Amino acid sequence: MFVIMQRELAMYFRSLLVYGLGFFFLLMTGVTFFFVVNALQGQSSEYSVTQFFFQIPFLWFAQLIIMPLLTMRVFSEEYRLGTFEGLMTAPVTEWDAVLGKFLACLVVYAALLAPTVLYVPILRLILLDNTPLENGPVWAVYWIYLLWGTFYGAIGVFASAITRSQLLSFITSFAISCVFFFVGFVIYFEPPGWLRLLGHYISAYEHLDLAAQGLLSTQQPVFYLSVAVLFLLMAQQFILNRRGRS
Amino acid sequence: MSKAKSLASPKQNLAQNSFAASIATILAACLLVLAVNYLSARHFKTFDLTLTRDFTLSDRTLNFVGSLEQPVSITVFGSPPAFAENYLRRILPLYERASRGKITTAFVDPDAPEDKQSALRLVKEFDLSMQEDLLLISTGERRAILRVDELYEMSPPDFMTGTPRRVTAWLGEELISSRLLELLTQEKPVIYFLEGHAEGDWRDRDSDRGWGEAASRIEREYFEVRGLSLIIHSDVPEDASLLVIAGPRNSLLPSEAEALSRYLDRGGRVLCALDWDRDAGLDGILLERGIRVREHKLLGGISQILGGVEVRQFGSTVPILDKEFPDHPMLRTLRLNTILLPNLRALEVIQPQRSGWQASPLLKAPQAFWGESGEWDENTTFDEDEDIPGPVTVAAVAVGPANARLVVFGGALAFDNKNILNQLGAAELWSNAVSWLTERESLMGIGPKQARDFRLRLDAVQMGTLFVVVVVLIPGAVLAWGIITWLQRRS
Repeated sequence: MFVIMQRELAMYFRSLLVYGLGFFFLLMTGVTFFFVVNALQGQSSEYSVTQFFFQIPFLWFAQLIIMPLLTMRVFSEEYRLGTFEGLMTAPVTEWDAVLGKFLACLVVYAALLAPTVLYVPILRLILLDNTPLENGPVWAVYWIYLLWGTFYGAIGVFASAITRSQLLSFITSFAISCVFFFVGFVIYFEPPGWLRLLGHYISAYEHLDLAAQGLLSTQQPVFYLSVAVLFLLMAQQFILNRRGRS
Repeated sequence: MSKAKSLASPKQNLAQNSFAASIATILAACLLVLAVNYLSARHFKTFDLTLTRDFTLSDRTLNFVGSLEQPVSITVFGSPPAFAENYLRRILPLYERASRGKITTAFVDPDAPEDKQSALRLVKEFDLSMQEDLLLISTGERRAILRVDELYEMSPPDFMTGTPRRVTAWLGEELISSRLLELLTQEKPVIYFLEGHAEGDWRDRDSDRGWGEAASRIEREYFEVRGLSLIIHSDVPEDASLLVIAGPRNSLLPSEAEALSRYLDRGGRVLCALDWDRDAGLDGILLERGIRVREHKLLGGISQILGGVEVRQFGSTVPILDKEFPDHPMLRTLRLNTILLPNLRALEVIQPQRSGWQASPLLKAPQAFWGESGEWDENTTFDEDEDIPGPVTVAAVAVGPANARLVVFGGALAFDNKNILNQLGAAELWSNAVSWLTERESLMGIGPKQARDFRLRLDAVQMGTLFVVVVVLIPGAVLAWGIITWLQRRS
């Protein structure tokens, strides 16, 4: 598994896609952060700059797009280039292949996000005073981002495992991710009973909103990780069957 | 089908079996994921990472709410401002969880079509008479109401810097927990209305002069209202949480005034709304406690330029602006920029004659209003020899030994049936005065939670540095790394 992960990582960091994606993502988040700070300049607010920053819709969409972009090639390209059979003749299990590629995507995703962790310490350094910038909500948001990365990454790996077209893989992965993301907005239509509870439970926006305010729950890792495992299992089973046929 | 099966190669059979096994595995995994998430939705733990522990109830609340045995319903009625709704959506689920399902909460917006039925039921059940944002609490036959705007304190506006009002403290947990404790463990506190001097009748909800609406507003806040004649009873009863004197038009007898004085000396609470042109016979008692009742009536006007013409609005209804509010708990939760109080007489805060008492002005009329000494009409002007110049005190508070509390308003019309719902801020002022006098908020002893106040002050150089680092350097470094990698690959 780690051999595959290393091979994938080497491939990612040689590919211009990651640097292009990283440049665009960090440029946009940097501009967003700057404008949030500028907008809050001199104002008294109950919410810290980090709470405003992490609730900017651009950041949600970035999360929804990054993982499909990173994962679209993991199996699709192997199918297209015909290297999948070669991979399967190597002494690796389907789980090694799935998890190796998935973890590589997750590492790249974390590497893309990592520079944004510096924003608050940089602001603190520039301010040179004791302006309260809460650390708790910042770590909570990055925890949610990591869970999102795991979740959307697993969906992306599954989407890539079922098709040889990278474009189709991207569209499938993005569509499933969007469904999971936007279905949580049902709570704002005041649905009855169990639907409302379900909406609150799976609402990605609410998870981020609460985390940005400083509240985490054990529900979130259970939901994201369990569903991520399910998608990885489906990807593994798909590859198992494909290997059996070939 | 059997023929097709028999024709299938062993490899195909193996593939079919493998596919069926995969489907079974995935279905089993789906069920497992559903079960795990069902359990997780019911049994979970939350982690509060805020500096001010915003998502954590105090131990007192947790202990009390955790031991609840009967079901309690808390409903947010109305459409509170977004920040208050966010706060309630944050705090009420904590009560639900801490009570292990004994407390259920709901949000009902009477303007939302889907909530119409629930809203009508609640209006009937809680005897609601005007559109307000309320917290309706009920358990069994017992009911109580909190106003949403009581749940937070706001800073006064700063007109010099243009800083708007902002929430400075949240009182929600204190008030909700105290009201729950009271509702579940105690009899209703009793508020007496003094009778026998042509006061506003607390039973009368129909005539303009009645005080029935004011009384019903406090009844629904889990108080019992009773009448009291100090001619029949020689003393204010021991169970009195508050005595209201609702604009007496005849003077109290000396024996009644003495009974009142004794009540205050033993830590009593009195809300006194004076009629603006009648002597209530209370001057002596109030003077001893630092409040002098003057005979001068508040008159004045505010000039406005309308269509290029200066229009002077003259009269005896006094607008009291929030910029003139002193920092007093009774006023911190008032949301309105202006309170309109009709027909007031002047008060004056002086050095109390009785030791241990301390008096202070509560409300002052704007500078443009003065205390008129004589008869008046629309042409009356300020006479500096006879009249009291503005700003004139129109309401005052005094606190004394044994935690006695006294609030005096220089007018009673603001709280009668005609005005309490129509004059800006009168209903809120009335409720706040009763809450402060009865000191209900301290039942649990939790105290307010200070609202967070984040301020960023960066100069141009600091903003420039921030821009360079986060917009130029960080993305630039990634781009440079990418170019180097690309060049290395090419070479």
